[in-house]
Amino acid sequence: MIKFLQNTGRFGLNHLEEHGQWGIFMMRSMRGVFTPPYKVFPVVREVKTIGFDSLTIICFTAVFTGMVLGLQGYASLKKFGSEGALGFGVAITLFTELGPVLSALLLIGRAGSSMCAEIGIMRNSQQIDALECMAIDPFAYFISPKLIASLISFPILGFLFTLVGIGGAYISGVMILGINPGAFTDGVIRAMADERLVRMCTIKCLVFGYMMVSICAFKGYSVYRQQTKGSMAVSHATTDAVVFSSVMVLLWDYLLTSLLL
Amino acid sequence: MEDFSLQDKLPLIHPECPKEIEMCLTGIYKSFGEQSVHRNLNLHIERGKITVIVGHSGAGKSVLLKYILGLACPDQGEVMVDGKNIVGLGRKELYDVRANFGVLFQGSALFDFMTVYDNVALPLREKTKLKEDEIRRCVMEKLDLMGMADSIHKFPSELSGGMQKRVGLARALQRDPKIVLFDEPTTGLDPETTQKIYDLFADTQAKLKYTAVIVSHDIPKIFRIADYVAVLHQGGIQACLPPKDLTHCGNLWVDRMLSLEMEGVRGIGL
Repeated sequence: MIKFLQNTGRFGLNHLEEHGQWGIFMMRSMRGVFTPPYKVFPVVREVKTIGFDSLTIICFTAVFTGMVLGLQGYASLKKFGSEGALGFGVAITLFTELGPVLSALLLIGRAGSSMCAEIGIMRNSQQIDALECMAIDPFAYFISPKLIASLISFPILGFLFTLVGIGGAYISGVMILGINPGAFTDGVIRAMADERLVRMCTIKCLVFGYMMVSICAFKGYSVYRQQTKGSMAVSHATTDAVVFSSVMVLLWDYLLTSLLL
Repeated sequence: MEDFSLQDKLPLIHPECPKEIEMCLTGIYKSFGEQSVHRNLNLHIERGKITVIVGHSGAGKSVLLKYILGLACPDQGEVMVDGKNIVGLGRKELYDVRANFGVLFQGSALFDFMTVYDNVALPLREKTKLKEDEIRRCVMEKLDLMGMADSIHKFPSELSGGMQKRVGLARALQRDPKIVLFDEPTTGLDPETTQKIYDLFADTQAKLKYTAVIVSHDIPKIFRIADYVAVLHQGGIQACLPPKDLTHCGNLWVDRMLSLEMEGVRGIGL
C-alpha cells in the first residue's frame, strides 16, 4: 500500500514538474517572439519547412477527402431529394471540422515529428547547451521562429485544405455525379459568406498550430526526461509528441466547437 | 578498504598560491537525489593559466564546469567568476557573464546543419553588429589559426573528429573570451590526434593568454600543457598543484591514480 502511494505521488510530482517546465518553456518561447533583434530569415525558413514543404500532402489528402465527402453527401442527400445542398454541406464540414483538424493532424505527423526529433538531437549533442554558452537565447534563436511560422502556416494550410477539398467535392459531385454546378457553387458561396465559419476555422488553425509547436518542441527540448537515453530517447520523445499533440488537437477541437458554435 | 579522504591533511594549493584568481569555487555541495556528487569542494583557478581537472568517471568534473557556466547550480556554495558570485543570477546577467566564456564540448557541439564557416561566424552574427565582411575577416583569422581555412564550405559530418575539435575551438575563441572551458575535448580521438589537439590548445593559449580549464582523462598527456592539475575525488578537490609537484603531494588516491595511469609520466620528465 505504501509503495502504491509512493508511486502515485512520484507520478503526480513528475507530471506536475513537467507541466511547470512546459509553462516556462512556452513563456520563454513567447518572449522570444517579442525580443529584438527581429530576424525575418529564420521565420521564412521555418514557414518553408512547416508550410511550403507540406503543400503536396495537404493538397493530396484534401482532394480525396473532398471527393469522398461529395460521394457520401450525394448518396445521403439524394434520399431526401436535396442534392443541390451538397456544396453547402461540404463547405460547412470542411470549414469547421475537416479542414482545420485533418490539416493539423497531417502537419503534426510531417512537421511536428521532425521538429521534435531535430530539437531532441540538438539537445543530445549539446548544441542547445552550446547556444546557451555563447549567450544566445535558444528560445529566441530557434523555438520562437518555429512558433511564428506555425501560426502563419496553419491557417493558410487549413484554408487551402478546405478550398482544395471543396474542389474535390466539385469533381465527384458535379463532374462525376452530375449535380447542377450553379447549385453547388451557390451553396459553397453561401457557406463562405458566414463569417462565423471563417472565424472558427481561423481560430482552430491558430490553436492547433500553437499546440503542435508547444508540445512537439517541448518534447524534443526535454528529451533528457525520457527514461531511455540517446537515440531511443529521441525516438520515444517523437512518438510521445505526435500522439499527445494529436490527442490534444481532437480534444481542443471539441472544446472550441462547443465554444464557438 | 583504504581511506583516501585526506582532503584536510593535504597541501591543496601550491605554496606559490596564485595571486590573480580568475574563478573561485568555495564550499560547493551538490546532490542528485540521494547521490552526493560534491561535498565541500573548493577550487581556485588562476588567471591566464591552464588548469586541468582530473578524476574518475562520475566524479562530477563536467558538473563542475556547468557551475562555472551557470548551466547548473550547486545546492550550497559560491561560484565566483571575476569577483562576482554567479549562483542564482538571472538569465540576462548570466548571459553577460557567459560573454566572457568560450566552451569546447566533448562532442564539439557544432551545428550539423551549418557549414564550418557559419558555425564559426554564429557568435559574431548573433552577438555583435559587425558587417558581413568584418565577420568574414574574423572567421578566416580564427580558422587560419586552427589550420582549417580550406574547409569553410564543409559540414561537420564531413570532418574528422580532430578537425571538428579545431572548428569547435575556432568558434569558442571567436569573441576573444577571457576564459575557455574544455569538457573532455579529446574523447574518441586517436593518441596522435589527441597530442596534436593538446599542442594546439597550448599554442593558442600562449598566443591569446586566456584562462583555460580542461576536464580530461588523458593522464599523462594532458600534464604536458597543464600549469595546474586539480584532482577531483570523493566530492572534493584532493590537490591542485603543478604537474611536477603532484607526484610528491602525499595523497594516497592521487598516488594510486598516477601509478595506475601515468605509466609513461617519468618518461616525459615530470
